[in-house]
Amino acid sequence: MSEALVVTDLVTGYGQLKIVRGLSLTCRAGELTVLLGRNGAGKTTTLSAIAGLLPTMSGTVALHGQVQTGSTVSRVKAGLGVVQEGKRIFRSRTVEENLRLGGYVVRRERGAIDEGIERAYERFPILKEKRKQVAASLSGGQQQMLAIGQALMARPTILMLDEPSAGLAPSIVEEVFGEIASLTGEGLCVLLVEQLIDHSLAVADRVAVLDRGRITIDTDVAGLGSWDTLRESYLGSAVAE
Amino acid sequence: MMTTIWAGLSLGAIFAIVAIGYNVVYIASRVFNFAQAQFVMIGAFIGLEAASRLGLPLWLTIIVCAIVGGVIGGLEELLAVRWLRGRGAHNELVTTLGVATLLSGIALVIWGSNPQRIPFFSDSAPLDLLGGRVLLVEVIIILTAVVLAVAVGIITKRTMLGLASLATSEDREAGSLRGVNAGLLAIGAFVIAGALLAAVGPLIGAKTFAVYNLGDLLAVKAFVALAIGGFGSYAGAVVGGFAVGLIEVFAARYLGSEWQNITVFFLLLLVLLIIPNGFFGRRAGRTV
Amino acid sequence: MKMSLRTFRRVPWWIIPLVLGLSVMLLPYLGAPRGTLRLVTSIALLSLLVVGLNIAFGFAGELALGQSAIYAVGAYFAGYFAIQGLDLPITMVIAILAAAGVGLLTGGPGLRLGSWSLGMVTFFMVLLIPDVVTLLSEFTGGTAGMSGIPLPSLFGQQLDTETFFVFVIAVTIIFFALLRNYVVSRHGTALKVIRESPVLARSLGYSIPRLKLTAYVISALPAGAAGSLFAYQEGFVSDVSFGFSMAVAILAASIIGGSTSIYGAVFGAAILVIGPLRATALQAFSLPFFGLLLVVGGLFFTGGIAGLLTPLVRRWLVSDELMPDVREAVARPAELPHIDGKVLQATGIVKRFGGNTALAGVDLRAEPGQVTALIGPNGSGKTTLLNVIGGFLKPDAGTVAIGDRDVTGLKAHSLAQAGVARTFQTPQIPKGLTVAEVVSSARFRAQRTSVLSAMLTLPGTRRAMRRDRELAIQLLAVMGIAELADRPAEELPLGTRRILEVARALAADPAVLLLDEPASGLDEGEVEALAEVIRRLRDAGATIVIVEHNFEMVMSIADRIDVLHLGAMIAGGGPAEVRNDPAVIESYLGKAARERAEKAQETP
Repeated sequence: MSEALVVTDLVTGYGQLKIVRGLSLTCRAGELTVLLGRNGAGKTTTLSAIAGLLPTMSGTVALHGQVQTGSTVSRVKAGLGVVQEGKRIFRSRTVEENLRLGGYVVRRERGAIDEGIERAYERFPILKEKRKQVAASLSGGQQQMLAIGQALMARPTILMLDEPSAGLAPSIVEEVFGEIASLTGEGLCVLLVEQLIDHSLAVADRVAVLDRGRITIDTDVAGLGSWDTLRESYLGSAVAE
Repeated sequence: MMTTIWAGLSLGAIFAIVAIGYNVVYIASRVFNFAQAQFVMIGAFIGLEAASRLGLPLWLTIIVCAIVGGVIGGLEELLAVRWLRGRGAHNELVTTLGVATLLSGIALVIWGSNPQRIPFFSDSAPLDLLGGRVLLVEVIIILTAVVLAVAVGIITKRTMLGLASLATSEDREAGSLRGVNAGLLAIGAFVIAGALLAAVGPLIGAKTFAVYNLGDLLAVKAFVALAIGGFGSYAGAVVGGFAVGLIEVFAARYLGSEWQNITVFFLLLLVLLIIPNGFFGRRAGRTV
Repeated sequence: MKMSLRTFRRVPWWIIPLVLGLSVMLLPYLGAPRGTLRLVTSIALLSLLVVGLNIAFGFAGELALGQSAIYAVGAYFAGYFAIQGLDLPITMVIAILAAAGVGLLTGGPGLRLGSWSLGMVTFFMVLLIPDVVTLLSEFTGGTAGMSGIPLPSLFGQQLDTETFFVFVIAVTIIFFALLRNYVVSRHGTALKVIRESPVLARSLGYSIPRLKLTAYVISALPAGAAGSLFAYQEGFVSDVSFGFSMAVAILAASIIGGSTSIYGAVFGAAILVIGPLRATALQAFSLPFFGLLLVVGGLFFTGGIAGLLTPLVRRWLVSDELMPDVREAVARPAELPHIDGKVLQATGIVKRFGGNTALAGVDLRAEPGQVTALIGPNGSGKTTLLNVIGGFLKPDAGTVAIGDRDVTGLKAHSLAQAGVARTFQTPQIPKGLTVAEVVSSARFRAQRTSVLSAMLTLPGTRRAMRRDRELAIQLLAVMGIAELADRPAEELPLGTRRILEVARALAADPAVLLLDEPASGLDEGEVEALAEVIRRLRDAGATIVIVEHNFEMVMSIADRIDVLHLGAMIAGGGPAEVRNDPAVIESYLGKAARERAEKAQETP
């Protein structure tokens, strides 16, 4: 399996503040890597840097072997898809307009947009029902589905998702995670940032844990021994066992 | 009476056209271009030169004006606006005001302060329409405003480019993640708005004469049109423009010509007072 | 050879401009020719116009382009009443009052919409001058102008050129003194806060519309005064002198001299008068030249000449020695005054965003002398609840009460006045303030001082400023950062900024203290220092509500923990209770973890 996303010794942050302090991570095509870590550990910062939204202070990000130094738009054209946390869709536009916008980079390819929209409706039938509705009127779960559908419109080869489960009811989380899991079957390299350990581990091929700006655990899910280290990271050592 | 109405509509159409220009730039780049109205003045003067000096026919003049307007618009964005991203709105006000002053000042230097006649439509007699007298060029201006609003409105809502501008103005970062190059959109908007307004310049100048300070009052009155119709709305630009035009003309007729500008000023104060706080905030997300 | 901060503060630096001003006043008696007097008068009048613009634009952040229109108003009013036979001081007062009236009339509507609306309204004003002059030609003399303005007379004595010159300079000096006092006062600090962070200003209880309108009206006053002096200077007023050109020149002078400075106005005015405004050969090119100045100025001149000089002066002169009161505070152990916390009760809060229910009927109760922590996974609604309590969001249903006062639906600045103080996830630290000033910015509403009192530095203002500093240093000492009191606040690292925000929140004597993820981004040492501070506040009687992700920190300081999940409270109680609660474990770690935990609890 080819290495689709390779991050090497990434150092980044805001202004003078270093949040990520030497992070290395490899994600392969057809594989789902879950990145766990408590709040403030730097997960969103890492994704922002990979996407080019934040400048890197040192280290490199390579997509399909090509080191990326350009703008976010060029990385998107190189096949990077991002679903940001907080469901950053365009709330004033309709569901269908949002999906169309998702296909902006492939708009010139014949039929790409129409096919993409059909595919999105197959994945998330509720979106088809609501296609003429303004995105702000959708529920949280529907907005999350729209955000994922929107990102997929551009036919990314690498998809990063930032806490898609946030604010969603458990049953919806199941549905969404089911779709996310199926993406690897289509050949995508998926990097999933999450707080919910259970659901993530159920769909992951690899697990990486981000703690204070560095990766402390990076292994196959099968190879993950006890959950104690994970639990400690989240709830402190005081959880009764 | 009908004659007065025609006068109001044709004047209002000019405001509407400038307001459309404001919208195009605002939607794509969230910048309010103080200098937008000056492009009409530029178009008027180029029209003057093209017609009287070079003897170009109207259609060619319009094309030349569009090109010049587009280039100047693009330069404005590159040199006076692009650098200021993220530094707060005030600097953009100052630099675009500076561009407006620069353009107006250059026109003053080149053409002096006397209003000049533009040799298009100059000998047409007034038409008799719906019981009122109106010049052909005025009817053309009115139609242009409506057609422009409809066309730009459709392009904004239906094409990918238009959709991309709307998206970027709502959330620039999310737009870039969808592959929308906000910088390109911004400069594109300035070029298009500049080209459009300059292209219409010869027509408008045929009605108002070409003079270096044509853009000044035009700038504020088109702003009033947007305040009434809603920032970012093309239908609003036309409705607001016609409203301002009619009010101004009726004020001139019944109160006297010294009252016309003052009336529009009080209209502005009134509109700002009645529209509840956050007019911008309310409509800004809901453009078009 | 550096000067200590203490000496720097002690020296009345305003003496220098005062002495300069007084020596300028003496010019006529030193044999300066009439031409020079005219030039200096022009500079003085233009600097009055520019300093007004600086107040509106540089400090309040509003592009008030109408200075030249107000100049005209002042000139015509003064000229008219002078012709009617009134004395100079009276006509000047009338001019100033007329200017204030125009300011009120246009400021009210003009300030309603963001930055552009005032710019447009005032720009429009300038364009209206010819029409208004024509309309009122009975009074103004129409386009021909108002002629026959008599020589100025003061208490019946006619002033000759020399004495009039002295009067003009005196008026200029007085205005500059008053305005300088205004901007270095608490009002000036308040304007800086508004300009940098309106959200912060509201959370400190400032009424932004009122403060901005005040600044705008104040900016009109020197313009009106200058107008009256102009009328006497020329003996003739016509609308030709006041137009778009003049308006742009004023703005250009402001930018060159530095829009955020008071004395910079004189620099800018001098440069413009001696330069372009005089060169008659270049008259024709003045308009495009000003335009170019504005473009370049707007792009590069963020501080103007004054902006370049001030940091240089600071660097060369001032050393890092501490001020005496700071040194004392660092040496003594700091006592935290008792904090009068009140009960916060939020009941049944519902908040929807479109189709998304962020809060589905949530209750929260926080008691004085306790730390109530609000935790929950991302997207649970914690920040939304905090914003509702803080008045930045209006709930769709439910009530909020502080003590026995119902504060439901009140906006942020009213809630601040009701005693709600908060910190922000991204610390809101305005530029251009020292650490002590940041803390005392919260006291603006607590001890009110009028603008007039500020301008004249009356005892009331001086008392308030002394108390501001005392309290600021005391609170900084409690936080353990007293030695930073006179440093520029923007230089502080993140952890210290968080603590500074807490100090500021305390300065408002809060009934309820809301802390929004204060530990986020901090390392272990900083988190512990913060926790210690919060414990001390709790022991002093504060009602503290903290939203936080750092579980360990929450465990160590919270008396009560409320857990939010998908917009509903799923658990609440003491730390031990909550961390073993199955619902909590599930919401953070998932079902399997919950099942394991439950199983573990079953086996004896």
